[in-house]
Amino acid sequence: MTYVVITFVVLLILNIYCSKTCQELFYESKKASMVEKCLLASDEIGKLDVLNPTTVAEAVSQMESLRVTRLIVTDQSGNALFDSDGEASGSYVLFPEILTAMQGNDVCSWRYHDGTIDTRAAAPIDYYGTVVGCVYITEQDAVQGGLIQTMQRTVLRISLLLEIVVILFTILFSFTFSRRLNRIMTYMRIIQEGDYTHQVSMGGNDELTILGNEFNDLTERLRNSEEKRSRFVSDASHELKTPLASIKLLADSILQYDMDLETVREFVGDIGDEAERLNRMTAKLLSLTRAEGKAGDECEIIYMAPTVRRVARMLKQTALQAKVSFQLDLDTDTPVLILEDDLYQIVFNLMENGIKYNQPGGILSVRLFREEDNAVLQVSDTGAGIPEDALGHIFERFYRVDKARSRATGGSGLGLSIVRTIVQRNRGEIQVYSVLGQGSTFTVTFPAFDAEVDKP
Amino acid sequence: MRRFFCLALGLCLLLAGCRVDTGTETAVFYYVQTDYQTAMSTPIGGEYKEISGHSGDLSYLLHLYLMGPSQSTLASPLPRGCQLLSVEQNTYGLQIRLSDVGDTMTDAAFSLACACLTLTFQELAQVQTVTVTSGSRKVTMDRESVTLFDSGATAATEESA
Repeated sequence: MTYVVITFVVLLILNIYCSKTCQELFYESKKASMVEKCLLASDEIGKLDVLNPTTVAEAVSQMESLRVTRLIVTDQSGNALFDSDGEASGSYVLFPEILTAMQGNDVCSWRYHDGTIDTRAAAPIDYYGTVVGCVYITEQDAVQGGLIQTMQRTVLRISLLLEIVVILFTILFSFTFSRRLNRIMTYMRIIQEGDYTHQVSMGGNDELTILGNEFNDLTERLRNSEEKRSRFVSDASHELKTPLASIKLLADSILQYDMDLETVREFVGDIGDEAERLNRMTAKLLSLTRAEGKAGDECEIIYMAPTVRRVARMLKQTALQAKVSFQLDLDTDTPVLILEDDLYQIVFNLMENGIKYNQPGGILSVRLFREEDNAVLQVSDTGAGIPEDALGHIFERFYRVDKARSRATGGSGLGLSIVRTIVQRNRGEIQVYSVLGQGSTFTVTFPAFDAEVDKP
Repeated sequence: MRRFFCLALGLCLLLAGCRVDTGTETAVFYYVQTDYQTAMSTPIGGEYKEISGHSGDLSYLLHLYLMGPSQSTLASPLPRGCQLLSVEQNTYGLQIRLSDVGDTMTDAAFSLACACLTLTFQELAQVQTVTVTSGSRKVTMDRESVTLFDSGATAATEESA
């Protein structure tokens, strides 16, 4: 509707402009000759010694070359001494042109009506510096007026045709647009009901097509997110259920069977271990949720080596118990942009895994070095390694390569998932390389901080 | 277009006829249009003035006329200071004598002033002719002896001194 109104207004302005311009052009071409004729007549009449109807009529009769539609001559009071039409003779002719000319001005005006251009001019009759009367002439041009009228009608017809085309086009466009928009709306309702399998097909190559594609992308992301969420809930329920079932089983055994104090103490110890595992798992789930929820724009300039040393100190006792020795090779010159807590979590999880899944007498090697514009953290163990088919899943939540061993070592299956989330949030990358029977190497890469380019 | 104007005019007249009579008596007083030279329109325009209780009092009405128009688009055709000397109505018409304004008015301007007075007082005094005398000037007019516009439409204009 807006388009129709806009085009209507534009065409209306165009029509008025064309019409006015044509009339103005004609008037400009006519004005000079009209004023000239008027001045010629007033000069001739001004030569008369006496101004009366007889003398003026005689003078006018000698001016046939003027060829005007109407000629009026008045005295200084506006009384018509001569009127070629005869209507105004003897009466007061107080036309605006005549009154203006009486003030000593030559005046020309025009108007257009019914296909005729009516041009008028008036000039004072000067007699030795005194205005003694006025000459007023009119000329009606039906030929030029007809041309203007024809042109106006043609422009009007073209405008109407254009307006009709615009209206038809608008109706067509609106119909197509609403039909396609309705399609998107229908799919939106389907998605709202939880069915993410539909993909809207828009066709064409316009904004609606882009909107449709964006909608499909969004649906796909929603579907993935929904899948992940339900898998997470399912996994988390399963993982939390196992220690709870153990606790219940142990507690029931204590209650139902008569057993000596030593056995009861052993069972209660097991219950404590399971509760501890449950506690760890809940803490890691919370950590993962926090890692995913945090915005990635917080950071500080950190040298990684001190953090690695701190983690090594923390895990020293655990490593001793597992008979694993550390080998640290740390470049201390490369800073990165990351929160220290995040870096600590990454290093801790990787080194803890390196100890847990190592073999007695094994080595946990941690290297820090710079590679082009990146700072690289490499954690390698000499454990059993990861099978090739498991490499693609180790960063998934609750995924364990060796479930029995993982549970035995208190693993929750969330450590690497947390590491990957934090690394990605800090614009980093994580890769794993593993050879069965020889060990695994986790490589974390962060962009090195450059004071001239980066802002902390 | 003409039909539309006729319709609009008819509607205006109908509405004017249907307006509530407030009991006040008014009359049209004609003055000079201030923009007639630029618009090239009729040089004379009217405005309503209240004359309740004075409809027959020509002296009062003439004094009221000489006070000038209230609308900014109209101007008095007579110069400031022009006074009424006498007014007389007889079988020949209305005789108005004004103070001498010969120095400040051209003959054409005086004719225009007379036309304004004629149009105003022809209706008020119910007379055929109005004669205005001022100093040595004397003009007698009736409605038929004045033509104000070639036809009734407006026009664009350009002047050169």
